[in-house]
Amino acid sequence: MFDHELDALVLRRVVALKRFTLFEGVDLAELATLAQNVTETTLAPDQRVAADPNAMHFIFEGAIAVAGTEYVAGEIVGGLELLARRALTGDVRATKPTRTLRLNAEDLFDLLDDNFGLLRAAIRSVATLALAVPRSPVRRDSLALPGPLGLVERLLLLREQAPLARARIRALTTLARASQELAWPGGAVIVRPSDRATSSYVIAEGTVREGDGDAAPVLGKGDAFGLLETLAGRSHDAAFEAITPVRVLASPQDVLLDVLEDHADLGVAVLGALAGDVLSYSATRFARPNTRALTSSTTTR
Amino acid sequence: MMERQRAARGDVLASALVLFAIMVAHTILETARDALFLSRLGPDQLAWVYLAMAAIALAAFLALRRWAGLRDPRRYLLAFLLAAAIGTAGFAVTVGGSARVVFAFYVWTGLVATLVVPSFWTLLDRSVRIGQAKRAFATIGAGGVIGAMAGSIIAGGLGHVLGATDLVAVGAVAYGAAALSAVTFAPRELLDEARPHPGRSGVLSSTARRYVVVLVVFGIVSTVALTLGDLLFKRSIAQHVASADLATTFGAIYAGLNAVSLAVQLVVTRKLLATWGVGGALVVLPVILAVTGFGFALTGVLVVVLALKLGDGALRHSLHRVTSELLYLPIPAAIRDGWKPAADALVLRGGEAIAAIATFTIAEAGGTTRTLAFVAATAATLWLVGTRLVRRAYVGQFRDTLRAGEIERDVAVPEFDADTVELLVESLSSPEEHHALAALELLAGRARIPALVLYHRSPAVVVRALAILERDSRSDVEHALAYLLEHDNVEIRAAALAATAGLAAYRAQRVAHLGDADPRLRAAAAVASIDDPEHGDTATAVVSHMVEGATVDRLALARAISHVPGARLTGVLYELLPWHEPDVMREAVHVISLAPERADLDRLLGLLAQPYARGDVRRIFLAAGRRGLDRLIAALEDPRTPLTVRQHVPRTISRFGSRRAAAALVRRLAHERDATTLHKILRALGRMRASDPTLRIDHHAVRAFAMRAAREAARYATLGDALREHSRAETADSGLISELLREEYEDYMEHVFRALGILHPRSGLRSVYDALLEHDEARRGAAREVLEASAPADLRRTLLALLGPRTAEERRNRLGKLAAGPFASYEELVAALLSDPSESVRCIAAYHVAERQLTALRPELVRLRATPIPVLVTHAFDQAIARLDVRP
Repeated sequence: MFDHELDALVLRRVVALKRFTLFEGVDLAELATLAQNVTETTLAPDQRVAADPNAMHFIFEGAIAVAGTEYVAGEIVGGLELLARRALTGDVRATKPTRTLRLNAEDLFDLLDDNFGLLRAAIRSVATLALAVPRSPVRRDSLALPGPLGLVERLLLLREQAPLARARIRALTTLARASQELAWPGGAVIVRPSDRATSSYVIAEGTVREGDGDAAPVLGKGDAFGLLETLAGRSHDAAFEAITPVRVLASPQDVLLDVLEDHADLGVAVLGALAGDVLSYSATRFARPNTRALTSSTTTR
Repeated sequence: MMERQRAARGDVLASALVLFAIMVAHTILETARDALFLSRLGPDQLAWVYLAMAAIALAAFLALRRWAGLRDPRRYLLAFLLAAAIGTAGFAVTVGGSARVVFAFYVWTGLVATLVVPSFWTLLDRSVRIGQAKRAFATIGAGGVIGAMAGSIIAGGLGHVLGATDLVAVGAVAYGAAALSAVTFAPRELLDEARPHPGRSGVLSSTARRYVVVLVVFGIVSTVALTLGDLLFKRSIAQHVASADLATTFGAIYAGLNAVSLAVQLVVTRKLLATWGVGGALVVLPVILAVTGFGFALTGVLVVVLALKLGDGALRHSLHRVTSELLYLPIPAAIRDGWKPAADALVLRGGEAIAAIATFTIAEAGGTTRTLAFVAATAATLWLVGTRLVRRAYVGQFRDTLRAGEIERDVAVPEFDADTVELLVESLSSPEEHHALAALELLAGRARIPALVLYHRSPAVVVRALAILERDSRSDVEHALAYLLEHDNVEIRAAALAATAGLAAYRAQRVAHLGDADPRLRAAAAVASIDDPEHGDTATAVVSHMVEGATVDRLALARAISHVPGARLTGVLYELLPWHEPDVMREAVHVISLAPERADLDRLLGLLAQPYARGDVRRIFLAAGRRGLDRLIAALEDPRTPLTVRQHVPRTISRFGSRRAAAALVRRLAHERDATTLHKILRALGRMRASDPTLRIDHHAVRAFAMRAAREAARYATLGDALREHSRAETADSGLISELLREEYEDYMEHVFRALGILHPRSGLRSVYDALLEHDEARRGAAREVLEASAPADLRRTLLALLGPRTAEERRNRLGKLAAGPFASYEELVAALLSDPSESVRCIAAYHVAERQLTALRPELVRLRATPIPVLVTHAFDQAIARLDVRP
């Protein structure tokens, strides 16, 4: 293929990809890199998609049904499964003449590793989906965290968070060092509803109430709040109020983003954990193994 | 692991046995052939026979090109061996007849050699990886050399009791035995190879074909040189030995040469390949041939020809054979299987044919053996020159294999063509808001956007379009303002109001909104009226009031100013920055970036720490040119620059892409203490050199950095080994140390490869590093070959010592002084970790001391606590000491 033909091909793919809301704000050069590494597939009505379960499809024409749910142009099939390193299984087939851009699992992770704009977009999107997953306080009272938090205590605290559990120590060390230890007296409001999320908090000492009312969940040592909202760039839905004097390890949004940019492996680990949560929750909620994949419009449905 | 090694050794010996059997048969036949030919036809006919063999080989080449590669290479080998046994048996019956049959027999032996031996090696190429091949091929080749020796001894011994004709029958039996050994011992398992990316297998195939052509040309030149050398030797011997004694003489000489060849194969080949690599090993034989060839051409002394043959005999079937086979390993199997046997046939017989023609020409021109020697030496010199080209192509092929398995990185955005622009302009009218916004983003700055988009039903699209279009001062945009000022959406009204700045027709509307309750309209009216001679003071007062107001006021102000950029309001933008409100800051910096020449770089430098403003700040510094670069270099070198800012300076500097920018980054490599900044300097330099490989940098400084990083990698690798050896039971904290040491090792290795990538931007060292981390043996093997060819010698030794060994002990031995320790006790090891340069390692080690109650280390903690150490470490040591003191 001549260079100008290749350029035209990449350009058309860039235009097609730019229409996915997932890529809003993503640098054009990064989109061009993605466009260069996808392959175009054409599917006839009723044709099965899953020749390779370790791939995701950006639908830019037509529609694909996954276990009965139809995905249309502008949506993505198999994204969450890929990020969670699960195979896309079940009956996946085109419902009309369909064209997609297909991306392999290995290539996806390489692209995320190299292109922070893409990684950031994926994290924002998956974190938004994960906000819908109900979370129960876990509380790790056995954690020994005496006095001001040293580096190791911060590391242990951060590692207790499911999205960070698989992260490399170096990445967590950077995050731990850049995070701040903050304290509030009992009764203080740490976060108000509709406040823009600017930090992620992990409780080192004390208890915090999430929301209002007697049935409001109470968070304790080792529990975290604000991470998903911060990653998603959203506002808080509920208030967080200190019940007792509280010490937390706070990671501001800019620190989180910087660490994610420098340690793409951390970003990929976070994505994997969140995507796994969303898939598991969807499986429970919809009583089937594979539900909506990472899609542009899922967040707004 | 031991079992796997034993199994691998068994496979190697089995293959060596097959080659042994083949070479026994071949040598017996070769001895009988030479004796029959020289006694019945004489050496003058040798050139003719080479030509005939070339013709037959050409037919074989065409057949092989058509059929080889379609089936299992093992089946080919078995079929050829069987055919060799049957065909030779036929000649055993008939070769006593006319001289023509002897001639035909010579051609037959050549054909058999052309088919059987390359088929054997093709099968082997499919059964081993490159790293294993470099170790195993010498042993397998030794099997061949021993086989040739045994064949010579058998032929020599039988030569005393049997005639040359009877030896042919013995050869047929020997080929039968070889076929049986192949059935039993030839490799059955064919390995998978590195899988190319779906879109790039075609590119890889075409480069592989080009590489095969290079190998064929190279091989032909080497065969010409070797054949001419062989002819020179045979002529000299035939002139000095009686015809009746030729068989025993050749038998004895070949046996002697094979003994030397075996010694070379067993002692030299493997070591030479390990030390010099394939590229180095390639030059040995051509050097010997060139030197001895020219030596004989100049002196005419027979002993020089014997030296030539000694070099040829010692190396051709050992080192030369092994390196020639290794050259084919980078080629994808689908191409190699189809091309290699044919290429071997072409190389061998084509080279011999050219050598024969050269011999005829020399004879016709009345040349002597010294003339022949001169021509042979010249061919050897050409061969020597070709080794450089082949070595580069060999490494390049491995590099292509690695790249073909990866994504394409850093793809440039193509220029927009007319079709794309048309498509995007159409998308502007899409009812889908996102489609229209995407089209706007893509078209901005690349093509004329029609003002009709301002009538789009989506407010977001209109606001964005207005921001893009009003910069061009277009009359069609001005016409749309009247409509937009009446729009239902307040965002649009505000944007339109701000855009009316300077347009007298809208003055009344601006003034009317100066006191508007909505901050967006108030801000828009104020910034648009700032130059109004009558209402300018009021507008200025409104602006000042809004700066001190709420976040929504400041945001509205920043957005309004974005529609009216100009020197008059720049100061206001800087007043908005200290509030540290992300949205406001992002908007304000974006507006400043529209007129970078007036930017206050000192005030903007700190904003590099803000992810939402960083992109625009970078653009501002870049647009400021030399002034911007000077400020950034000063910030990088100033120890007072906050880390949160400094860490983003290298990438900003890299945007300049100049030699001065690169020099500033390289200079910092030697002094930078912060690991993140260091990492970013390496990435920045890598990006600069990848974009412009001709960009000049201080190679010495980068190489020195790479060596330092390799030493650190060695230290952390061996510390990790020592921790595993000494550790009694893994706990959470010891696991943490272990993981961190592993990561420190990996990070320093990454530094080494990034530094090498800066030195050799076209070598694909990023792919090499990635491949070395993978479990894919094929890619790892390819990566090691590229590394061997790209890294400086001292660095290569260290890296191979880190990447090669399978046990900690072996690694320690190979690293020598670069290894940490040895440590007499666990406490001694932990003490070393407490004084490690990495703050994280020290903190975790201190925590570990407290967790394990390693009280013997308390004095060491106290001693180190008294030395100048960072606050973080001080805190960790204090905590550890306190915990040791509290617990009984």
